[in-house]
Parts: sequence; C-alpha cells; structure tokens
Amino acid sequence: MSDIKRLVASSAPVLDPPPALTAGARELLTEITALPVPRRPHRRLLLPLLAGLTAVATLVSWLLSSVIGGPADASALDIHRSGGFYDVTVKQLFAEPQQYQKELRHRGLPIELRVVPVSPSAVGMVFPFEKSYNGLSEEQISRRNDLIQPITRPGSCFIECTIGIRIPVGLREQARIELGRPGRPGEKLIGFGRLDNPGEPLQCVPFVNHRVGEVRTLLAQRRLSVVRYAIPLKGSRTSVPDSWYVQDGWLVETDKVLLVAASTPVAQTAPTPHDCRRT
Amino acid sequence: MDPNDPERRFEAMYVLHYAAIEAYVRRRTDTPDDAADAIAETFLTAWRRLSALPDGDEARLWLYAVARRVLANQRRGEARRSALADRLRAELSVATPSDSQTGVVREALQKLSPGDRELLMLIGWEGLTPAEAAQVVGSSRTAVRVRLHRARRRLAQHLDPAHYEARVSLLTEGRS
Repeated sequence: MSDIKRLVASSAPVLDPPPALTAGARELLTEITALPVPRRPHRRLLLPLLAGLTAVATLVSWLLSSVIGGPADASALDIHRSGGFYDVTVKQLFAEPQQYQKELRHRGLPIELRVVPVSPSAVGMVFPFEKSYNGLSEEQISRRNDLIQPITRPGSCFIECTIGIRIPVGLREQARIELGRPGRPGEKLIGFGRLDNPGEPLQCVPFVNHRVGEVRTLLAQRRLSVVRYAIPLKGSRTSVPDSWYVQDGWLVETDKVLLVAASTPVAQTAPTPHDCRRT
Repeated sequence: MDPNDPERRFEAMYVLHYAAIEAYVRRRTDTPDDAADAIAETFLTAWRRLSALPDGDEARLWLYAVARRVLANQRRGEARRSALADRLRAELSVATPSDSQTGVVREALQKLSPGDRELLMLIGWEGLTPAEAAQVVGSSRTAVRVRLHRARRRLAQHLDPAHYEARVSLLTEGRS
C-alpha cells in the first residue's frame, strides 16, 4: 500500500511559483489584523455585544439576584444534567477562578474556565471556545450534539444573552470557556461591547457616523483617549483626519478606545441598544 | 513584545503556516480568485477565533480543517467574494499537473468519494500522518486507518494495472 501512497504523492500539482510570504500575503496579514476583532468570541455570542447589548446590568442583576435571593448555597456554578448535556450556568459572578475549576472538576467535566477582563457591558457573559468549531457555520454548530453549545436567555436581552454552556455528556477533549469580569486600570480588555451600550462610556450617546473630531471630544470629556483607528480593509493608524466618520468603537483598555473610522459614513448602522430605546 | 498580544500571536502563526495553507488551497482550486478568497477566508476565521487556535504545529492542522470547510462552501457556491487579498489575487497562479502520467492517478482519485480522496491527498500531498489527517477531517484515528486502507484499495482498483505497475517501478527506480 505504500506504493499507492507514493503514487498519490507524485500526482500532487506543481506550484509555480512556490508558496511564499509575498508582498500580497503580507498585505493580507495587515488587512486581517486591522479588523477590530482580536480574540473575538463565537460570532453569535458576540453579536449582542457589537449590535448593542441590553444591559448586561440586566444579566448581572439576574445572575446576582439568583445568588442573593436564592437558597444559601456556596457553589459558584449551577451544573445539572439535561438529556445528553450538562447545563452549566454561573451563579456567582465574582467567585475565585479556582472555585469554578474545582466545581467543574468535581463533576468530571473537562473544562478550563478562565475569568477574563472585558468592557462593562460584557461583564458576566460566558464565551465558549472550542477547537472543533473550526470553520463550522453557526447553524452547523447548533445542530451538533457533540459540541459545546451556548445557553442563551431569550426575551430579556436585546438579541440574546449568553448565560451558560451546554456540555455534551461524555465530552473527552479539554475545552475552554471564558467568563467576563471588569477590567483593571491599564489592563487590555479582550471582550467588548460597543461604546454606546448601557454601562459603556458613551452609554446611549449616538456616535456612529459622527465626525472623528466630535467623537474624540466626547471621549476626552470622559477622560478617554483613542489608542488606534482601524480603517476597514486598509490597516490601522494612530491618527486620522477629524473630518472622517466613526463607524464603530470599543473600549479596549479601561481608559483607551479603538475607533473604526473611514472617510465615508457607514451605510447600515447597528440598532440602538434596547435599554436606550426605553428611556 | 508581549507573546499574549493577539496581533503578535496571529502574525507568528501566519508567518509560520501561510505557505502550507497557500499550497493546500492552490492545489484544490481552479482559479487565482478562488484561491485568494479561500486563503483570505481561512486566515480571517483564524483571526476571529484566535482564542480557539491551538499553539504550535497543531495550528497548521486546525487551519487545514478550516480551509477544507471554506473550500467546501466555495464549491457549494456559498462563499462570497472576499474584499481582502487584492494584491494576493494578482500574484497567485493555479497549480499545474506535475506530468502527463500523473493525470491518470488524478483521474482515478476523482473516482473516489470526496472524503476518501481528501484523506489520500492530505497524506500524499500535504505529507500528514494518518493521525494528523484524522484531526483535520474530525474523525477518530481508528476510523481514519480503516477508511485509508479502503481508499487505497479502491484507488488501486481504479488504476489501470499496467499503468500502476509502470508508475510504481519508475518511482522505485527514482528512489534507488
């Protein structure tokens, strides 16, 4: 059979020129890293963050009320079996990281839970990361009963709130989930809600399609500076003309903001966050 | 340099694995546009899911798996033309058959199921071990070993016996 292997190998098409990190490949690298989505969680989970979450305050208060108003129980997680899955939800948002790990281990679940710094509107959100997601679409993931699934709480959030995860019974491969906590001064945040989300620095203040100069003034009034401007598909810069338009923005450190800016306004803007529409 | 910085981590991964992914994609696409789109989409997925990207050589297998799905979507007509990689699009060329005789092998490969064909190509073209190929296609090692055995047997059946013998002897001479 090794002859067959060699035959197949010999049939490999010739690559001329051979693959290399050319100028075009370098340019692609710049284009991709200019997109403001580093360490972005699963898109379905992030959508509420980017599109304008409801108040994570709602989620946080829900999570906390379950602790305050619930039975006296020291556990940080609620873990129970439901069909072919273990449903895991967070009961105590500010427990010690070791406490979560201990409870997961106690139930034999191969999950590493990390608590990570996020912007205010993402505090309390749970982000599952799984290698097996690979290039699967969101719909494909939702149909797979062998993959970790997000638990969302419909109705109370603008689109959906992720409040926990469903872990397939018998999952063997080590998986990781991250739980958002408030950032500390100078710390890089790795999950963010949009700047006008409730709880964020520009809570309910329209800024998308406003001029860069105007938005920078709004931020300066809140003692925030712009650390970087991401230009869609054209890389990033430390400054852009004041007359350009802001297309999006996130808090990336407790006192620093990343703005997406371009010379033209963005055609479609994300809807106003739910809680802003109520007031 | 902070090794945990997402940009640094992505750049290190990109520099290390770009050529392997470009080769994988170019051998499986018909036009430079399709190749550039698939390469851009593969690395864009990696950027968006950087936290899920394993370290070291495991990243290469993860990227192959992403590229495989991206190409499958492309073949089903579900992929969109990427706004990225304009310059790359102009640079890329399509892979060409290595020689006329290998056309016979590729014709035989085309007669296999897409799954069997991909498994043989991952091992023969990308140089993966069966265990690595199992990771890329998302199957167990045992299942891949069994499937590989059957796929090789089917390929041999599809090859003209005279051609098969001639090619094997040529390859054997080439090694000695």
